[in-house]
Amino acid sequence: MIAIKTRTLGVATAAILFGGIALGAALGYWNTSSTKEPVKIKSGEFAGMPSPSDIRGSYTWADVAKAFSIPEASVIKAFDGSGSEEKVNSLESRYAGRLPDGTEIGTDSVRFFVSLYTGLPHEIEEGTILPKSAIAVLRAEGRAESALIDAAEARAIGSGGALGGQSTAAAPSAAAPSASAPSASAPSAVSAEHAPAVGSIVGKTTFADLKSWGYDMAKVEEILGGIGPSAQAIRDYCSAKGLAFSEIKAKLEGIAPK
Amino acid sequence: MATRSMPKKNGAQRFRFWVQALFFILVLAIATTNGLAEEGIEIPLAGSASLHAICPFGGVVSFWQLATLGTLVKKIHDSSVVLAVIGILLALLAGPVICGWICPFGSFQEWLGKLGKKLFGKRYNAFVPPALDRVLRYLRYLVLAWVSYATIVTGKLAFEEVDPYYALFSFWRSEVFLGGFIVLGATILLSLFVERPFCKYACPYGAFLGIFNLFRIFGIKRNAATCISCKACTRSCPMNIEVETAKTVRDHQCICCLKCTSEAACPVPATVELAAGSFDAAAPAVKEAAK
Repeated sequence: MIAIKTRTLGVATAAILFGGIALGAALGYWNTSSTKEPVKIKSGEFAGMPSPSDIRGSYTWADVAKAFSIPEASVIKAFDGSGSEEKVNSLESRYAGRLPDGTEIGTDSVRFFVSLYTGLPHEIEEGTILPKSAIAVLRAEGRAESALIDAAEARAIGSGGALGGQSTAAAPSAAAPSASAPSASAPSAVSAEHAPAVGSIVGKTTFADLKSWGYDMAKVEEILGGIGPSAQAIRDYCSAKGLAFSEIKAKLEGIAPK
Repeated sequence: MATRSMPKKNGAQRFRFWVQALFFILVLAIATTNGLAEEGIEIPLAGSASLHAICPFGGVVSFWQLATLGTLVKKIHDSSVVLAVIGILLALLAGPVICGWICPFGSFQEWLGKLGKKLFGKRYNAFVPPALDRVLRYLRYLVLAWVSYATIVTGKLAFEEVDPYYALFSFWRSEVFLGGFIVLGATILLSLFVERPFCKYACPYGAFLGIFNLFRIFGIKRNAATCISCKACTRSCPMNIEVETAKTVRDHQCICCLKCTSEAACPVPATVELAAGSFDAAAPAVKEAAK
């Protein structure tokens, strides 16, 4: 029989824990934060380029600038940032309570801006809008086609909380944008009035989301040629199967439960 | 009786206290530096790992997604998976030592329990009727099943919304859910009556690690040949396990704190030990040691 004393167990436990961490670090597995390198687009015209859709709230303005080769000053100016180390997720608290119902300036706005600035594809979420400062940067630096910038400006918001060209006082919640501005990948427009009772299908929509919204999963399977794991995003499934997400999205929206 | 004349053996458990305190301070420091980093205040050399990054349970609930999709659950990092693997290795060796030695929330409850002992004396940790208690002990497996299912289905940290550990170490942060504070408050209150109430009835990670008690290599062994049936081992157990009747403790609730052993509560040397193998095989030598 091999007996272990209390002190031996304590020392062995700490040694195994810290030794395991050291081994994990040596093997490159000990990462306590997400890498600030967005995933690469897997296929199509932009294969190998960083995906704006993978920008996360924990990115700083400097991370965004570095990842997409955008001048840091431009990104900070676009979102009226306080410095290069400020995080993208600071936007949500900054604009909280200042925007019309159904609109949001947050992480997806940064993805939208980067998409317009770089021409890389991103499917914007319903309600995502840009601050006017971002439109000014896009125009000043001659980025994106004028039509795309115009469309984005129609749903941009000034520092006072006014949508488009409206004044603050004249910005009732009914002035919420009636259509999504096209992103570089020209996602299909979703009218706020005609949006399904269920959530809109965006890049991060998962099979579980579809199920919870009441989709007929048999029809979904028919469209997709299969069903992925619950937590898998529809877009990831499409990428893996070589399907065009925009087409699948349109088909799925066609069978959205009433 | 030997029990009356034996000097109190506090050395080993004092050592355990300092190990617990070390990990408590370490986690507190990590939570604080992460909170300061979020505010833009960097402490040189301190790093800024989040609590999620050092939570082994986050790694456990990520296993499924990692295996099927190759990605981690939101907010979880590679380090959580490393810690989860280390936790499993430790559990294979000696059971849930993470619960008994490392988990700062377990230590927090244990320390609160000292106040409960002062308040209620021998009644402390004996308020819940045994029949009810036996059933309630399996609640944590329901919690584990719910958390695992919800995390697999949503790809998000389902437990975060009611996590008292996160609420305790991040109480100043706006991202802590009300549910976490409610569970934390209930745990603090209950700790005055019951030892480690969250560990016993609700902790999903404790439930996961507890399974390893059924087949761990080093178990709590009682030598029936030298045992004087004083029940000191059972009385000392924070998890109310009846050590006095077991040859090897296989209870899923054991946290391997070693309070029951001959180094602490048991008054007879080499009678309750953490060991691999059996007393039967070493009977002559052990009997000699016990004399």
